[in-house]
Amino acid sequence: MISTQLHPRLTKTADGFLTLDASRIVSVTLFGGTTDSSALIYDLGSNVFGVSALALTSNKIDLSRLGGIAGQAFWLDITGSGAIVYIECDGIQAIHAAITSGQTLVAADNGKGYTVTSGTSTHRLPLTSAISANYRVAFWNQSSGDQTILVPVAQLGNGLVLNNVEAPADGVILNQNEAVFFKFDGVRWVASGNGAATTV
Amino acid sequence: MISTPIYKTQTVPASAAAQVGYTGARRLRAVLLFGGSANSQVEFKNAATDTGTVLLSVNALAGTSIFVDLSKVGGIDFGTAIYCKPAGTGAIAYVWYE
Repeated sequence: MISTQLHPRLTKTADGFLTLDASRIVSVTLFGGTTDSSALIYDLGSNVFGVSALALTSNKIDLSRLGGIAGQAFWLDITGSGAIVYIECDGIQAIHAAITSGQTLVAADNGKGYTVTSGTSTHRLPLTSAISANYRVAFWNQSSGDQTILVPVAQLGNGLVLNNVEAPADGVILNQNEAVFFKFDGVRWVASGNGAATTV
Repeated sequence: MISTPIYKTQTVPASAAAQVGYTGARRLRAVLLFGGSANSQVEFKNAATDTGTVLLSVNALAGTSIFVDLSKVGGIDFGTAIYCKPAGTGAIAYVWYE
């Protein structure tokens, strides 16, 4: 029998969320490609870590002795042709594809569907009372990539305004190039690009 | 469940040199200097502002990063405060401290 892996590990070759839950990064390895490369990590939009490497070199940063870096929603920006980032991170939750405008979100645990309806420049994602305070929603601006916001849905009813996203009591308005993630029960994610529910 | 943090962290870009934490005795535990598009440097001064004695200086070539983990040797004491001053285009200092 082989030993147990100490920390879950992610391999990333493109920009994207690492986690949308409380987590801790304990090591980052940047595999440099054919050009100079870098990996910048953001937590709720704030830069919290970065590492760079010259072309055809690699750079590993072991943060375990320091207790790592804690965050709520890590986002990774990668630059460099062929660069790969390996991350060891406690508290990893699988991240599903974003829901974008015109797509249908189906809640797998209660069978209710939420449809993103189209508008001229904004899109509305209806939220109902069926969504409890345990659910969270994150907005992701695909244009800038690093504008990550994670808020408890319970706050949305108070007219939360974040990142040019105005959330009235009955829903959330998404600007163009923004996507939405839903989290259920602190464990599962429901996301879909074609209307089919996917549960992690 | 994730583990409990050991040290405080702070990000200090070259565009905004800053005091690390609050004024008072601090201990620097580690620094990662993210080198930008030019050669970079970061100085740590024993002061709350851009004055005082430089107790640590770290350099990095353009496009590289340098990680200095002082926790193995107990860190460096700053009796007054820690002022972090990175320099170099795109340079960022990530600081672990107490």
